[in-house]
Amino acid sequence: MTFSWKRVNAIFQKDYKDFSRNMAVSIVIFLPLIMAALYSRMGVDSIQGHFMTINMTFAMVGTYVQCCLIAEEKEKNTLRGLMLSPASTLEILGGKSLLSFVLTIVIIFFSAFLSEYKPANIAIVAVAIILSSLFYIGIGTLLGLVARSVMESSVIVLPVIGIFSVGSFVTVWAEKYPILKVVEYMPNVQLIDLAEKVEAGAGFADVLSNFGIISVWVVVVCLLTVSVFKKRMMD
Amino acid sequence: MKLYCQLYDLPVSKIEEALGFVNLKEASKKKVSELSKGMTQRVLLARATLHEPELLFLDEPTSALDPVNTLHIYEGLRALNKKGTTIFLTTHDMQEADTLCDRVAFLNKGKIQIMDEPSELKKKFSDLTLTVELENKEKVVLQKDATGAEEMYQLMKENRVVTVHSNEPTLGDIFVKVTGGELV
Repeated sequence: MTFSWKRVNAIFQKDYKDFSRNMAVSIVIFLPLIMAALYSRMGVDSIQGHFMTINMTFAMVGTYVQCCLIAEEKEKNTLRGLMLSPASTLEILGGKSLLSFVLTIVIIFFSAFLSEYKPANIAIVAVAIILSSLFYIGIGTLLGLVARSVMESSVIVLPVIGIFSVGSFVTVWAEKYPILKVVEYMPNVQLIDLAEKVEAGAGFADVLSNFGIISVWVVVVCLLTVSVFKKRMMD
Repeated sequence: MKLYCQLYDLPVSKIEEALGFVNLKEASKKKVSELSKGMTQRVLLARATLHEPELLFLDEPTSALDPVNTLHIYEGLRALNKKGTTIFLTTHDMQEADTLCDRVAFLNKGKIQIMDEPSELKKKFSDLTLTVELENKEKVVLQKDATGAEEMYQLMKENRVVTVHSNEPTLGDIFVKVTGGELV
């Protein structure tokens, strides 16, 4: 499989133009920033509070924006053009994910700045955020490939936004309903757990299990996405 | 077009060449959404030929085009073919197939019924007659044999012949004969 940055960059630039012209999608990136600003004014200074905006950024920017970009490409039949071009699967998926990735990281940075979140170990949290963003962008790509139109994509992405942005609160009832313990293995909950451990002074070695679980989610989503993409390449 | 130049690793100058091929140089600054159906079709054709592919599949490439642009596309396709591109053309327009194709295949119910050069097909399905138009606008059908030659000699001797046409069937006629159906 080939990999050319020039091609990835070409797809990225095209996506940037499409994104900046589509107000219905581009306006969404401001929601986490507004939330972060509101939270800081309300005096919220807990890991749960900070990571609610971070997880919301993942869901709204990483997943929603990515899902809409892919679905739009499909609706306009331009994804087919890319598939027929010499660009490899990795170049297409990489190029199509780069904008969402950059946006997610930038919005998380500004959200953290607005909500005055200063992690005890920025390196560990940064790696975890980058790893998690791959999962959310992967989910967005998958849903975008499954959706038949942009309209449909904005509907099917809603449960994902709900589950991953506020789903972590379900753990409160885990004591009463043991079945809800599975929620603890979700990537958003793992990220919060990791951040809490870091605040308590944990190092890389102490959060390996969190990294491991998030990585498994990333691998599963990537495999699913690539397999659906390959299926879409066939008529 | 710029995106596809980058994807195919081509110089941007190729865009002008490709737009020239489809007679769209003057519209190069316009947005595709502002173009007519025929012009959009020409943009798609320009994009498909941008990298001068070895094999090009075209489906009704001139269906929405006016005769002037159709001829322009024909010239471009011939030039592309001369450069080495094999063109696989799907069309209902038998005139187009006759003009452009080196070999034609008639498909019916998913099967190739017959495949050959257009001229060979016409010879194969010809009824071996000539139509001669005389000076009094009368048309005489002659066989392409010794008897016909004698009759023709006589008519020419009397200086009565205005035009002579070989009665070859069109590709459309051959399709109907071969498939027993009509072009759908």
